[in-house]
Amino acid sequence: MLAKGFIGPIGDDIPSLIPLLLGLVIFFSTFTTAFNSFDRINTEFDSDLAVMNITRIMQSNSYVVGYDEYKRHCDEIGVVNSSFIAVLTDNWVNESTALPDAQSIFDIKIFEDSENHLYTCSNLSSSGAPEFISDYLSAENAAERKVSSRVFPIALEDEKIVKPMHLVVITWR
Amino acid sequence: MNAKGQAAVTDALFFLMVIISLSIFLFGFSTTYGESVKQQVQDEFNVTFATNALKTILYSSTSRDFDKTIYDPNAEVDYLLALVKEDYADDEKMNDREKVVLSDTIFAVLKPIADSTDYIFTITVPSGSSPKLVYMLVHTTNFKKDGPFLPGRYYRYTVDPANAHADYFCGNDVNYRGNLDIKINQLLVNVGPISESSSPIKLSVFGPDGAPGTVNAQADLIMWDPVWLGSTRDRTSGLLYETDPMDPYNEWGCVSVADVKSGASP
Repeated sequence: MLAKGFIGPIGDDIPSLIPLLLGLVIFFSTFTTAFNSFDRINTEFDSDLAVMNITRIMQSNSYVVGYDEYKRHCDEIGVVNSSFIAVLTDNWVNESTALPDAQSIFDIKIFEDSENHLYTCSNLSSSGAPEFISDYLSAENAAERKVSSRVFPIALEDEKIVKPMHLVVITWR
Repeated sequence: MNAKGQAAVTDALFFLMVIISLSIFLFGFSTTYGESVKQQVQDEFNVTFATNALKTILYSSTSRDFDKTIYDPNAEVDYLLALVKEDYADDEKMNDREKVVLSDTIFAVLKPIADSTDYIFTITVPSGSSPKLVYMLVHTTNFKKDGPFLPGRYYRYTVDPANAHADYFCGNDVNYRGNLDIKINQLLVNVGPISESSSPIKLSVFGPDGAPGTVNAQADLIMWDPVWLGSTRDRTSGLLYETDPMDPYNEWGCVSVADVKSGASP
């Protein structure tokens, strides 16, 4: 009689193991989800911080006096744990180079001044002579990566004319 | 043995309860993690954009020939602010042509965000006995308000992509001090979070004796996410217009930028 229902030291605790295992599954599932969420958001923060740091250096006081100053700012950018590109463009300002409304930032044309300097700065080499942002990062490649981009107005002095421009900064991993 | 088994199950259920509580806390924390930082980063970007935009507008050059741009090799180019100062010095107000030139630069500089942001650009003479509004450009989303389709339900706000924005020069022939300035402040406190940038500038004037001088002025750029500025159920009087964004209140003294450009404005 004493052994009635007794199926061994472990077998006797099988009903209690079910909530235990369920609890462990719930906990580790939640933990994994939370960890992935933290990781994703931290990556976004890193991208945003990288964009902010690059922007802060490249824009300086929002007034760029020619290509030499632009390159000097570019050289001041330290190690960035992402690929980046920072270009000046007049696509939004100059009607002759304006983008059709529906086109993406990858189609932005890099500004070329009167002395044929291209206002681009990147820690990557472009595929051939860069002309558009897509020469560094195409829309197809961007779809597979975490891309962060920002646009800021900036004034550029070219041929003693202060031209309104836009600084486009894109980082990706 | 049965009692022992029940105790083990009870312990396991308590354990499960603790785990579920912890999981709920962890999940809740993870879903809100970084929200405030993300908002701060976005605010920082917005303020930086507004600051850069204002500086760029004020630094920019423009063509003295109104039918040419600075990219035209034959254009006579001067600083935009010089043109504004020169025009203001004539009669202490800005003429339509100079207003259009300034608005062209503002639109161009703010074009990347024009679809997603409404803004006001003003030049004011804030100090002295008679504060004055020299220039005011308003760019607002041209919402259409429909409904409610059922009693007690919400209105539906849509935007026609072909005519998405309403742009005006405001402050024409209206009293600024004690009237329009109050309306502007009322609008700004009701549109939600704003990104604002201000810069002191000097405008040229001629004294009573004809001697040239300057007066302290201020350029402001204020941006916000597009919102309905008309009347609502809780706000019986609109902030800028009653029901049609293309038809602002007369107290604002607004005329359409397109009308001024085409010369249709009085």
